[in-house]
Amino acid sequence: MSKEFLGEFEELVLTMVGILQEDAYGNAIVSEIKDRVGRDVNLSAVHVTLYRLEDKGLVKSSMGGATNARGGRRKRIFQITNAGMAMLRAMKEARMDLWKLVPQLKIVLS
Amino acid sequence: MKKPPRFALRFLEWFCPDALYEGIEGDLLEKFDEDVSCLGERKARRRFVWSVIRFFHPEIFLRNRFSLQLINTIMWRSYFTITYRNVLKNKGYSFINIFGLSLGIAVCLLTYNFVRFEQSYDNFHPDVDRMYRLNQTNIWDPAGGVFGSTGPAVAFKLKEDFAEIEEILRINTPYGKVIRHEKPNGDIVAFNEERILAADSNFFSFFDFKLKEGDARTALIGKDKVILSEEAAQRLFGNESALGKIIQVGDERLAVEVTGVTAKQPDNVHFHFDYLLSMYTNRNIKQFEWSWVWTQVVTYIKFRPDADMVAFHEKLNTFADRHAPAALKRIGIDYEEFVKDKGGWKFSIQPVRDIYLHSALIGNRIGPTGDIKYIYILTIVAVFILLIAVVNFINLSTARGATRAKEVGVKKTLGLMRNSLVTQFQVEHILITVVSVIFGLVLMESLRLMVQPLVGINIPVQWSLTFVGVVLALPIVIGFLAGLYPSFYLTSFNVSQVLKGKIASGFRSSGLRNSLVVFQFTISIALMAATIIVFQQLQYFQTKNLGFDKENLLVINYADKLGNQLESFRQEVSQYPGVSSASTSMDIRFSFEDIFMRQGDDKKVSISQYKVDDHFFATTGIQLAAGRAFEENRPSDKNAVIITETTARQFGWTNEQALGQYIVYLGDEIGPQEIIGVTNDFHFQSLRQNIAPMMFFNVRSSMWGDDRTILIRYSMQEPKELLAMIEKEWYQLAQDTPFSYSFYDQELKMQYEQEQRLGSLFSIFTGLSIVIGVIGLIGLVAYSAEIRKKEIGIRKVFGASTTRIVAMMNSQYIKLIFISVLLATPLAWWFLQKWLNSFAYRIDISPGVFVAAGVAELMLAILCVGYLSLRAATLNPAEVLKDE
Repeated sequence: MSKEFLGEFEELVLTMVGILQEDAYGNAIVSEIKDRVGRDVNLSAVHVTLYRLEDKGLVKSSMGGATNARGGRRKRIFQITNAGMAMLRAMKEARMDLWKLVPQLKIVLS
Repeated sequence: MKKPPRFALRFLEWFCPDALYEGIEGDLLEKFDEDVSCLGERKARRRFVWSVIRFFHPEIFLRNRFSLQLINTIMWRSYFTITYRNVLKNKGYSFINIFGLSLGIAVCLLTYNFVRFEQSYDNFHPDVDRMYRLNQTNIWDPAGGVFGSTGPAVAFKLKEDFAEIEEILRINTPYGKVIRHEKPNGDIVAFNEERILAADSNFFSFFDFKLKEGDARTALIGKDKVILSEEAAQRLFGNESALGKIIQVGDERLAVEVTGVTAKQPDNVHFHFDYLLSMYTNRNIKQFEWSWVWTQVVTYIKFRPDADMVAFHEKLNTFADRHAPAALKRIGIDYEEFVKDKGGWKFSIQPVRDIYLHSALIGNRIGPTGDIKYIYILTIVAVFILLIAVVNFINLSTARGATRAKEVGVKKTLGLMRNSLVTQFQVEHILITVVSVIFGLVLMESLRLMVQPLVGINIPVQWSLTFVGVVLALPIVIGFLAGLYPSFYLTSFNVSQVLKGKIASGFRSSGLRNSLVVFQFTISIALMAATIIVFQQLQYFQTKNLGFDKENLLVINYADKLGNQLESFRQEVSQYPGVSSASTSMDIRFSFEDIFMRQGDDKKVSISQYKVDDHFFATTGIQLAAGRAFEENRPSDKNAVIITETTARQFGWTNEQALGQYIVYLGDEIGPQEIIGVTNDFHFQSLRQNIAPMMFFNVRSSMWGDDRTILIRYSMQEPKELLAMIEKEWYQLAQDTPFSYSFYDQELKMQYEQEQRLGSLFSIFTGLSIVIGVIGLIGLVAYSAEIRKKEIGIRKVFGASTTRIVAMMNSQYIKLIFISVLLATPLAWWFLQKWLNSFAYRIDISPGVFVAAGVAELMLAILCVGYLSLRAATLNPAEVLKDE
């Protein structure tokens, strides 16, 4: 594993960026998390996390096209980078490896 | 279309970096629209504001600030890293730099605080700029001069003559008295009190002293009122309120009412008091209120803010001429003749602020004085010590320039601008100085705790704005100066030359470095010589033959309080075991001057007179040069006097001629006094002054002078038991009058306290300067041994002996120290001669002192440097040369 670690919330946001593909921007991620995990998260927290992930090079961002909605403001669309994918995969595998070590059947001898 | 709150959007726009603004605002607006449709406008607006506030997050609003300065931050970070690595890489040199600098800075900051404190005297009075003391020609000294006392009448004439004056205050000095207080249960507490003053009722509107108890406006109005200091009130009344209590002042037990207690008096005032009587409590004031020659008061003037000082000075010039003649006529003295030898009778004014430091010659009759001379000396010495430390810093960084030159070459090759290189060197030097200042502050504190008890002065550290400014400015100035050479010289080279190593060899014999080393050693040798001379002078004071035996002499003060039992007390005491003799006399530690004439002539001489008993000369051991001492069984001795050699000279006699002559006193009618003896000169007072003319009256004489002390010559080592016996006897006769004594030799030592302090301070400073200088030298030699390793190796291969190599390494520094001795000698000689000239009795400076200081310094240097050079010389050449 690389030296960088992801916090639980960072991993969640990164995963959402991966899921949403071209449509990953602040509000979309907030509602996606609400839909899929049932968790109310704060918009500003998501933004801060996205910028932090961008600093770490796990996502990159660009401005989307202008729309009539949202007062004509453009969206900042985030996209997962290869490094981001690798990071997600590594984390998942590490967790699987650990999961396999947990005994699945517990036999209690009396 | 619903709109979100404007202020929230503005706030967002204000803190949010431009790059992020659009995306965030869009998301917020989208969410707002959604909320409006689901939750209604009011709730949506509230949520919008809340969300905006949640965005006010350091990772958002600090974002662009950092990224814009990204390049600079990286460079600065690199400067810090490189400094850190350099400090760690050369631990020895860094230690020498930082330790030396911290010491220098500590000395400097401590001195700064001390000097500030000494200069802050009397600054706290709000009108201090308009406050002056009235000085005048010293009318009691035949040679004139200036002193700070005046007669009580002067104040009235001032007020009449000068419209420029807003307020006048007189302070009188009634001197030490016994103060008693009778407790309700009849017990009496009594103290010998020294710090007693009397002042006009406007004292508290003139000076800014605060009262803890009592009303400042009325406290000193009328007779028999007194203000106590906090400490005196505590002494007399414990924790009870002092207000309204009655104390008894002096032998006449004058009942005086306490009308106030001062809050703690500031340390930096030119006088302190324990008892401040109202002016007319001292009955003498009324009696002498017309007088211009009863110079027992100090007159202070506060001018109007708009006073014309030029006109004032002009009028003041003729002030005495206008008023003094009338006052003198009243006692039958002719003005013209009185002022003839003194160059006229002139008044002058001196700012109150200057009294403490600038009264070395004028004096201050109500408190201690400092001396601006010592402030200057101290400041110069402290600055020099700092310079020695800065020189170390400069020397080591130039010496190590050879190594750094390579670093510069590599960096230049990699494309670093010269600007950044200069900045890097400067940052490095400033950072090292910052660290030194921090250590310096810690050292200052420990130095302060060490110095204070040693020299007996209190040095308060005040974190005033200026002090903080000095602390902050120090690293920038020192670091910048020390960094100048490396940052500009080293960065100026051509890259290819540096990397080929052509520059490096040029650093070894730097003329700059040698002259700086000479500078350092000149200072420390001069300081060492100064320390030796100061101590020699002190030694001289203590061992000089004073003309009498100062050891084993006990003085019982205020013996006149015994009244008519004095003589029986003296006889009793002189019978005690271990007492060889005891005598009653006026206190010869003080001067009681008056004017005398010889018979058949009108030559007037100001002579200090003392009434002494028949045992005086036997007890003190003062030798007679001619004639005889007083004898018990000769009633005619009542009208006989004994004079000193100096007095005889003043009248123009030899010792033998003086015998049988008559002296006439000009004051009261006591008849002509026959001279029966002439004593050798002796120093009962400080050796700072020349011997003043003195004469002795018989204790039975009708000459004035009621003051008495008893001198006791004892023979044992530890006079503890004797003291206990004397004290017991005293209280049997004197009941509630406190017993007070002193040992003469101890008191004598105290007179040279200021010189003693100077000596201690000098030895501390000299020690520090030597330490700093020597560790700097060690640094230099260690470095030169390092870069000459190979040269030494090759010399050894060719057969040079260890001795020769050690000699080669040392000879350079020995030469430098030799030059320093030559430079330091005339410099220190001149300064020290000036200092010594302020004493009437002084040692001669011997050149040996400078030789000794030079040799001491040389030994120290050779000891430290010798080890390093020996180590360099004994290295195995094979080890040194193998990697080439």
